[in-house]
Amino acid sequence: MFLQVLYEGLTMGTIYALLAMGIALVWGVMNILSFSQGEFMMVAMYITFFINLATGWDPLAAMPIVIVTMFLFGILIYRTIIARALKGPVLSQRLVTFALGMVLTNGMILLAGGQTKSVPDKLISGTISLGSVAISKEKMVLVVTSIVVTGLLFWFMNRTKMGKAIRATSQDKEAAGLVGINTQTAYMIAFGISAAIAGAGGCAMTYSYYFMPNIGTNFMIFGFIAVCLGGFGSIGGAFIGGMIMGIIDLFTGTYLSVSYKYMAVSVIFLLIVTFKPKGLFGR
Amino acid sequence: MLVVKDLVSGYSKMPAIHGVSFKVEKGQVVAILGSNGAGKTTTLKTVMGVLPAMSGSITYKGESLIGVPSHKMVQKGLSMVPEGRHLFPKMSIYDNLMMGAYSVKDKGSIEKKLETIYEIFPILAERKAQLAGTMSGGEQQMVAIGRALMCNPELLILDEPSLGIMPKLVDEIFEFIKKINKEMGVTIVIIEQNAEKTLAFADYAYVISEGQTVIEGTGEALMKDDQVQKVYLGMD
Ligand SMILES: Nc1ncnc2c1ncn2[C@@H]1O[C@H](COP(=O)(O)OP(=O)(O)O)[C@@H](O)[C@H]1O
Ligand SMILES: [Mg+2]
Repeated sequence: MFLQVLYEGLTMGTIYALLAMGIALVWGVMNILSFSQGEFMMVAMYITFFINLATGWDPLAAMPIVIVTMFLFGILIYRTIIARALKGPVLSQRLVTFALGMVLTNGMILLAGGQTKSVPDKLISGTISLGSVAISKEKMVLVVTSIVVTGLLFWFMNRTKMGKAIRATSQDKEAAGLVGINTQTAYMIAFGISAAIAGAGGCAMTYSYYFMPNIGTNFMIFGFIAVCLGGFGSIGGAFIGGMIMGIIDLFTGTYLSVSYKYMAVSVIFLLIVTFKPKGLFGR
Repeated sequence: MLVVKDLVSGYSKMPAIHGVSFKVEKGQVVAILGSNGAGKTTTLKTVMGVLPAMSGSITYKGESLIGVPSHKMVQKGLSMVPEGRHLFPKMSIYDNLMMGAYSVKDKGSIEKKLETIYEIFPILAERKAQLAGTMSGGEQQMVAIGRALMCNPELLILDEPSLGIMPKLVDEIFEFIKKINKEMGVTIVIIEQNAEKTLAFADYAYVISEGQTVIEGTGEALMKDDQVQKVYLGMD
């Protein structure tokens, strides 16, 4: 039982980690709280669903398309909405993604209806038994996707010229401009990447989750707490925070009850924000 | 090389400088002096496109710099060491230096430049893996100067390089700046409050007070002028 819950918790954790890393990236670079990150994930799920409906492609085959589409969607959102908010007062910078999330949720209800959906007939399915633990292959897809995406993100941020430019911009915008980095482009690419991360996560999630247009909200709350745990703005911290949240989620939900789970999570949120505002590892 | 005329600029539509003019010839060391809050930083940030000019003109090699964004300046040959150094604190010294070469296309020339900078500042080679944020003020200033040189500038602007640095190291930093001018042939604009030391090696100097250029002359001439020293530079 314990190992089973641990496995489920880590699986859940990889979802929260993906969300949290996207939020941390955007906050670190442009001080925008990306409340719409969960909704981006939801949009990616529906794109996957519609691709499957139209062509019968498996989510795994559709994933590259979903990632690219979400990247471009992120760029579009940046150029039309975020760039404008960044020139405005702090309040609009704080609320803009919140409003955007609501528009995406309600837009999807209009477009696809409020009922739950799922992608049928997956390429990979079934379970592997490892002693007392039953490992669902569908969830393995999600875990592997998360690990690959996390690896790629770290490679991109630390090894590529654009990744370094984004990090430089987040550490000192003025200096970044002076060494020749177009900081507007760095912002835009960073926002596009955070949407692309949500794209990979959402697409992989259709493998093992039912979904509806308001699925983003719950995930977003857990994702945000994960970012707080990891120290706002640190991508590595966000990943660890996400894994911790997954484990807390499953253990409190299984061993206590769902209502305890939400209470526990809310209390953790409040404690971190009040007493450890720089996160578990921040000094 | 660089001609600034009647420049007006400031912050969110409020002018902080009201008509600054100065000229820099190729190969010179030009000092911009003035007390704290006089408008020195505002002036040079506007030259570099960090702040938009409200009126006046900035011409570099006959071409107007008005409206040119700051990330395009390095390609034109201008580079700046900003006040307070502005390093990338969570990057290594090596990465900070390499970021300075962000716009340089030729890989071979980057390696060569890095060697030159390690020669001028050997300590940077020893510490290249250390995070910039964990270094002392003087060492950070060396990284900041090194980073600004990585793009092969023709004109280097230094904003108060002696600020927050141990007095012992200040002389050393000034020696480096002379070297950069004489040996690498880089034209220098240096902003300073430390008038005495700066005038000693500047070819020409301008004094800014309350957002305006009030006096100019060769370093020697300003050194000798008691009136200038008392009124504008606060020296005894
Ligand atoms: N970020 C800013 N926002 C508003 N006013 C500023 C800002 N920075 C400087 N100022 C004001 O502009 C004037 C000139 O400042 P500055 O150019 O920094 O002077 P200096 O570099 O000569 O010490 C000062 O009155 C200062 O208060
Ligand atoms: Mg200044």
